[in-house]
Parts: sequence; structure tokens; C-alpha cells
Amino acid sequence: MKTKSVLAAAAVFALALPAAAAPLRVLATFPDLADIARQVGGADVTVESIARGTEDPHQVVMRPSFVPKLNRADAVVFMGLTLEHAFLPGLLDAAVNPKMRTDSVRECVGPACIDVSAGVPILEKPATLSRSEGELHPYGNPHYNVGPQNGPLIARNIAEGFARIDPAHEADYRRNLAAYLSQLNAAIAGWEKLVAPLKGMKAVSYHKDVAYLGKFTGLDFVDTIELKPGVPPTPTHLQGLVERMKQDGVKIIVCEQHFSRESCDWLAERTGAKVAVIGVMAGAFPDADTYLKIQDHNIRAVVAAAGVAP
Amino acid sequence: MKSLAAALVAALSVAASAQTAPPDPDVAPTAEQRLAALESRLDKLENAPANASISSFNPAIGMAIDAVVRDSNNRANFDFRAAELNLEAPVDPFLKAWAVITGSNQGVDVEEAAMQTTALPYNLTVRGGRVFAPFGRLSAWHDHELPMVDRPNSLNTFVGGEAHADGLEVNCLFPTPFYLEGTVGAYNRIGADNNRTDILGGNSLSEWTYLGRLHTYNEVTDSLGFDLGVSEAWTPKSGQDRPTSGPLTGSVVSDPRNDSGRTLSGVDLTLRYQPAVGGLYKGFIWGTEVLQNDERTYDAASGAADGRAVSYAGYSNIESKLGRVVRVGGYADLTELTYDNRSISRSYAGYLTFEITEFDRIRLQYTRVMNNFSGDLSSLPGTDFGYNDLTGLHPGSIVSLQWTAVIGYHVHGFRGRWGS
Repeated sequence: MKTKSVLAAAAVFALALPAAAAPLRVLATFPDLADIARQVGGADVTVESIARGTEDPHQVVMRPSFVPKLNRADAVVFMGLTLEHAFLPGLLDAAVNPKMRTDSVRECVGPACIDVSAGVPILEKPATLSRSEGELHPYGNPHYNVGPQNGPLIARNIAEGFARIDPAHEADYRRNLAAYLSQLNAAIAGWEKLVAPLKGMKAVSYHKDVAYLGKFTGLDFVDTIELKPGVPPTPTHLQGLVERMKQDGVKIIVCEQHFSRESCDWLAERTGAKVAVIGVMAGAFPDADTYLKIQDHNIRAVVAAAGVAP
Repeated sequence: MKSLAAALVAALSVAASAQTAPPDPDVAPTAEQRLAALESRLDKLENAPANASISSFNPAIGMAIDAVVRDSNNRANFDFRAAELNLEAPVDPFLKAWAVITGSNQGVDVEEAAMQTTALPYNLTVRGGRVFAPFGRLSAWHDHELPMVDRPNSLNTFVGGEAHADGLEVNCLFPTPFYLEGTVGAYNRIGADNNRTDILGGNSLSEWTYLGRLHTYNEVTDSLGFDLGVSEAWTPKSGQDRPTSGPLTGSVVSDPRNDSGRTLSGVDLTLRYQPAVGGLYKGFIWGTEVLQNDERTYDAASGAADGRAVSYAGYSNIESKLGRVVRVGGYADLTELTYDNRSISRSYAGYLTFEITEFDRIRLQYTRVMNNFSGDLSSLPGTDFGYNDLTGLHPGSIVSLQWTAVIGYHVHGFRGRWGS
């Protein structure tokens, strides 16, 4: 009888306790966004990245294992500006989650979609929309995560999205955001000092994904190793690029980690420019698995290639 | 009084000049003036109508152009295989629709014209209209999307080319921790070149084809995953033309009585190696599909079973990246004829694909077809796939050069991902 009473009391007590809210299930398209989402979401979210940091963001593998995850997700955090066109619309279509639906203009529409491009000053909006200019992104250059100046805005957009979807934890998200921004802003201030001597120096990159890095560092990217965006280099183009780099006094070749270094090294040999290998996503290198670390890696790589001291 | 009038005139002239005089460029605007100008511009922007036109609701449009040059048995042909117009748009909050209209040297054909729900509960999706039925691995792919130039003979012979199907299907994404989807469908028939059922006239429900498919995907490692699918298409009553006697020596008779039943079953496996590091330049896909065709015949008068023919077919293909632009691949195919499993055709192919850009592709293929039977294939049922006598089961060596381009709207669909 006594045992029964104790059990009954325990059951009543357990029922009276407020049920612990399950964390928000978040999928981020890229590791950068996943990392920032973890910082902002804290214990109130579980976050997974669809892309792996070493992949080409334009050719992320559409793995069906993410279909059930997207189906159950409470939020999807994405870059927008058609950067995820190779994998997100297809996965969303298969995931049949009514809170996030594929859309030909905005990639994802619905209450669970968090587009972190909102408010980003978009660079390199195409003057013409023709595929004769390569694989263009019609709304402008979508690689804004590669410029550290956009990190705070990405974090704010994620916090706003979380607060909209999960208003019960809005205060937590705001507190986490403030803490992360203080870290990020301190880091940005340090990087600004590091890159000060780069202003006006000429550089080339493999792909046209460094516009925002150029804006932050002051580097003047005059050309790309690719013939056009998404079009691999031809021998004629590379030969012409050697001449142009010599004429313009290009000192830095920014080679994104996911591209072959062969062309970068070939150019470096013929022009004397130095190669800076950067990552366009967190996780591009084993020791750069967060947004802060990959930005730090990239800044130090270009500063080292330039051979300048702050 | 005079001085009052003069003061009034002076005040009015000052006011007038203040209204009309342009801002002095040498005088910097005050903060209030700049703010007012900004507010004015912002008001105009916010109150302006959205930048759109009535054509904004038009469907997204794209086109794939596919041409193949073939040389075989001292005959060559430039095959304008397809100019495939794709149209797609949401219909309303509950439905989307698309159409694929193909023009080729065989005329104009509506390959797909379908509607699909987008807001059903329980992870359900309903598609209806003319669809590509999801039987197996490559049957639901358009010709120009295939990893090889021509569809393997096993699929042409057993499914009937592209899996055109007029009907209705329900798809469910199961609530499992891993990817598992199931589809059931009912169609007039499956297969663009399947001529067993007349789809223009009315048929009894026993002459329809009913499909069931389960498809799962699992990852062995971060870079290695596999798809596994099982499909079954059941046609309770189907007519099939067949020779009256002997493997291929007798004359061919049609079977207007619909006195046979057919079950087409398939298992498909796809292994993908897609490494995270250097995945732009390396990786491979290996895919295999095995099909069984089970035909049962019944006595027209009594309805009693009076015969059964079981035959098998399948192919295995592998494709590997050799760099960012180049892929190399090959396949082997074995096909037993559906009405005579002693008649076997074997095909071997090797191909080199150049993905010049995402929208521009050239492919060179060598195919060798060997049969253990002979005869005029153009008169034999189930052997002529409608192209020409340089493809299909016609024995010999075939060299093909394919050139494919895509213009306009282009989407990376889930079904059409590389090596599905």
C-alpha cells in the first residue's frame, strides 16, 4: 500500500512538472551557418550542416539522408541568392515539410525558412543575365559569408529567425547573439588591423567568390583563373592571365581549397605571385571548423601571401 | 502705409524666392534637409508597386536539346533525338504542375504533363496525369539525362523505353530515421514504347498496370552511400504479340484477346562514392538493375492458365570522374526476350563524357551488341524501339557521339541527381 502511494505521488509530481521543451531541430545548408546557428541557438537548438566544409558550394552532393532530417526540421538556415540551387530545392521537394517549401525565386518559402541574406549589401549584381557570361547568380554574388564583415548580419538574421520560430526562447537567443557578436566584433577589429597593408594590392582568385573578402581586405581582384564563373580555365585563358598578372603587378593568387591547386601553382611559377589557399566554408581545413576560425585562416593566408606585416 | 506695403512685397518676394531657388551647391545641406530628402526617397520606394509584370505568373521555361550521331554496320545517321521543352509552375497553395513537350525526328510528343500535390498531411504526395512512373533506377529518366547515350536494352525491352505512364500515383516518405519512400500507382500502361495496351480506347481495370515501389538510401561512411529499390508492376490482363512457333522463325501474331497477365519485377542498387575532399574531381557511381518479366497466358474460352514465360534482364554500369570535366564509364547488359528466354542479347558499352559546363555536354560511346539469335528485328515484337536500326538489339558495333545542351530554366531535381 505504501509503495503504491509513493508511486502515485511520484506520478502526480512528474505530471505536474513542466515538460522540457525539445530543442529546435535546425538544418543549415553550410557549415558556417551551422556554426553560427549553434552559437546563437545554444542549448535550445540542435544543428546539422547539409554541406561538408570541403565541398564546392555550387556542387554540394544531394544526399537523401537529409530528406528525413529536413522532413522533421523546425528550421532551415540558408544563404539564398541561389547559392544552394544545386541541392536545397531538390531536397526540400523530396522532404515534403509543409513549413519549408521549395521556391524558384527564393529557394525556400515558409515559416521555417531562415534566409540569412536579408540586408546584406550585395556585390557584383550582374549587368546582364546571359549564360554566355558563365554560371551567373541572377541576384548578385552569393558568397557573402567569405567576407567577415557580414558575419554579424548573418548572426542577427539567424537570431531573428529563431526568435520568430521559437518565441519562448527569444531572450536566450538575444543573449547568445550578444555574446557571439562581442567575440566576432573583437575578431573583426583584429583582422582589420591585419589587412590594412593589403589595400589596393592586386590579386586573382580561382572562382569569383572573393568579392566580399576583397571589400574587407581592400584587395583588388582583377581576374579569375576560371574562364567565366563555373567554366574551367582553358590554356589560352591561362596564358593571357599570365600576361595580365605581370602587367597589373598581381602579387596574390587566392586558390580556394576545393579547387585543384595545379593551375594556381602553374600561374605562381610564371608570375612570381604567391598562392593563398583559403576556404569558403567552415571545415574547409581540419583546424578551421568554425566561422571565426575559417575567417582567421583566410585573413592570415592572404596576409602571408602578400608578405606584409601590419 | 507705404512702408507696410513695401514690407509686404519684400516678404512675399523672399518667400517666393525661397520656394523656387535651387539649393546652393556651395552650401552643404543641413542634417534635417538630408533626412527629409532620405525620407522622401524612402517613401517613394516603399509606396512604389512591386517590380513585377503580369507575366510573372508564367511558368519557368527551359529546353534541353539532344542530338546523336551514330555509325553502325556501315550505316550512319544524325539523330535529332529531342528538343525537350520544360514548363513548370505552382498552380495554387496545394498543387504544382509541369509539362515536358518533346519534338524529335519522330514528331511531337507530350512526355510529361502532370500535377502534384504540395500540401498533403502524413508526408503524402499525389501525382496525376502523364508522368514518368518510378519503376527502377533509370526508367524514370529522360533520354538526355541518362549516364550513357542510349538506354540499356534490358530497360527498353522490359519497360518499353522511358517509363511514360498515364495515371495516378501516391508517394509516401516514411517517418523513419533513414530515407525510405514508397510509391503505389495505377496507370493505363507503363513505357513509351510499350504497345501491349491501347491507351486511346477504354480498358477494363484489369488491363491497367499497378505499380509498387520501395526505395531507401543509407550511408556506409561520410563519402560512401547506397540506394536500394524494389519495384513491381502488375498487369492482370495484357496482350502481347509473339511468334507462333519457334524462337524467331515463325510468323508473328498479335494477341488481341488480352489473355495473358504480366508481372514485371525489379531490384536496383546504386553505390555512390562522393568524397568530401576533392569531390569536384573524383568519385564514382556503380549501378545495377535486375528485372524479371513473368507472363502468364490463359485459355481464352475457359480462362484456365495454359502457359507461363519467365525471362530476366539487367545491366550494370559504372561511371567515374577523371577530373572536373571528364567522366569515364561503361556498362554490360544482358537481355532475354520476353516471349522466349532462350533468345539472349548481350551489350557492352564504354563511354567518355565531357561536362564542358553544367549546361553543355558531349559524350562519345562505343557499344557492341551480340545476339544468340538472328532474324529481321524490325518485324519482331519487343525489339524495335522506334529510333532506327542503329540502336536497340540490332547486332554489331555502334559508335555514337552525343551532344546535349540546356537553355533557360534548369533545376536539379531529387530524382535526377547524378547516378540515382
